[in-house]
Amino acid sequence: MLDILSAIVDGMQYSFMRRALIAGTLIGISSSVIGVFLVLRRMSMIGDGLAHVCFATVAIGLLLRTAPLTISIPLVMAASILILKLTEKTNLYGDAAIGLIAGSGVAAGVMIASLAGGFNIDLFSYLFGNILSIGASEMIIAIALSVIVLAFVYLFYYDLFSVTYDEEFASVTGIKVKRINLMLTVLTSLIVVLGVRVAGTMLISSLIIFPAVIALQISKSFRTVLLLSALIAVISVISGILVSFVANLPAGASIVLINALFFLLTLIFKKVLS
Amino acid sequence: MDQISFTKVAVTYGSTVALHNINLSISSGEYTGIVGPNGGGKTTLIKALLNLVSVSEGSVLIAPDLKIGYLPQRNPNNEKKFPAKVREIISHGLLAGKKIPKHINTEDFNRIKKTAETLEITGLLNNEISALSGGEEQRVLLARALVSTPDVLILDEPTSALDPNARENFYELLTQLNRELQITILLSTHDAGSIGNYAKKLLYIDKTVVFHGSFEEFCQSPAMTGYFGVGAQHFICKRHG
Repeated sequence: MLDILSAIVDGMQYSFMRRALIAGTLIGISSSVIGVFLVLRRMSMIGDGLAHVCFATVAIGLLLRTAPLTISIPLVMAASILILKLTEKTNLYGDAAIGLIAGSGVAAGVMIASLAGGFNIDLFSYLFGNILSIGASEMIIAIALSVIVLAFVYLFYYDLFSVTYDEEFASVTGIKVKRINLMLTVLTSLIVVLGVRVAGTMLISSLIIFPAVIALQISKSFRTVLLLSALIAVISVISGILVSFVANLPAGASIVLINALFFLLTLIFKKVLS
Repeated sequence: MDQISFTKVAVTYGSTVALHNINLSISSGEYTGIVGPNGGGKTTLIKALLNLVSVSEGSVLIAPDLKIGYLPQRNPNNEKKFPAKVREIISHGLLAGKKIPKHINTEDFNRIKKTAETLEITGLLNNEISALSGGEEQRVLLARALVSTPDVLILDEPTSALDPNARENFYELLTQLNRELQITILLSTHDAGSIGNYAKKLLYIDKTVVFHGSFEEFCQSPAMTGYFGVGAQHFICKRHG
């Protein structure tokens, strides 16, 4: 036990660990808070779909030898708007629209990677995430994004709550439902792009879904669900990064498995209590 | 005084005509039941009035500063557990006109409590919305529609999920609100027989206005037989005979 604590204390002396903890925690908070709205609106798989698109945009970035983030942010944002418009303007169900865009994203990614001469280690790190390699600029972007997400939720809390519960009623009370949906979707795309560095394209949707679903099992009030979801994200991200550092395991997978454990424990606890 | 008027209104969904040539006026304090066959355009009429669908022809005029309360047909988000207390859901009725960031203040809380008292749901305020029975939930959603003290209350098939007893109680409650608070009520239903006992007017819609007048007049009109079939007057209009 003392050895583990000593390893953690040692780890904190490294700047990459401090950056990982700060960026990971903030991305975790952002994704878990937005995740509550997405899960309750049956849009939770949008994170997964956008992550697939992110895979293609990373491949483009690597092909063009530019920072993937500069390509990923606008393209994933555009894909999120496309999913929204497909569901609004056509008679497609949301999950079908997500499936179409996600499939196209992966196919484009594979095609681009093939043109670039095959998969390489960089693309692989985006598939499964590598929070420990996050740079100072990405940490700053993570801080800025978290401020934007939390400000959005604070400023539009009641609008988001009302739209999530009953879109039609919200519209009648003068809430600009389409604008709220657009902002929520665009912020989700930003979270996905940054979250890919934490958990990778394969696991980012877990950062969005797990904390929200666990909080929904426990709390009966909307505000508490949001706070609890953020708290679960903080605990799982910090413990996941520390476990990964101490045991030399992949950080993204550690975070997701800790969330899965929390979910299992919540179900067992609820069963025992009832 | 007319609060709402439709002039030559048509609504189409693609190539399907949902409503055509709707001419209609609703005056202050009226209690109108909207009836008609499935697909006849009852919900579309309500949505056109609330600007939830665009009209393809004509115009819907609403008196300036008219406050509207709305109870939708069905809330799809109550199928699964939704994490909200009853008081939180009622507070959504107070969001109209508030500036960002919106807050629920002490005055709002008092209005929520007062509305809950009127609808006899004070004991439910701290309950979870998903744990309520159909009748209780309908009262909560009515409270959400009423908490802003609207001039007009619009309800889209509010009793379809209620058992007969709860349905009659709900109609009585609306009659009381119409009488005591002078709220104009516009309610769509399949239950033409029951609503005839409470509403002052009946609006029969089948793509267009087939009938608009008192229930007694409806019982004497050919529209009655057209809707319910020959001989139905005896059962449906007996209390009005």
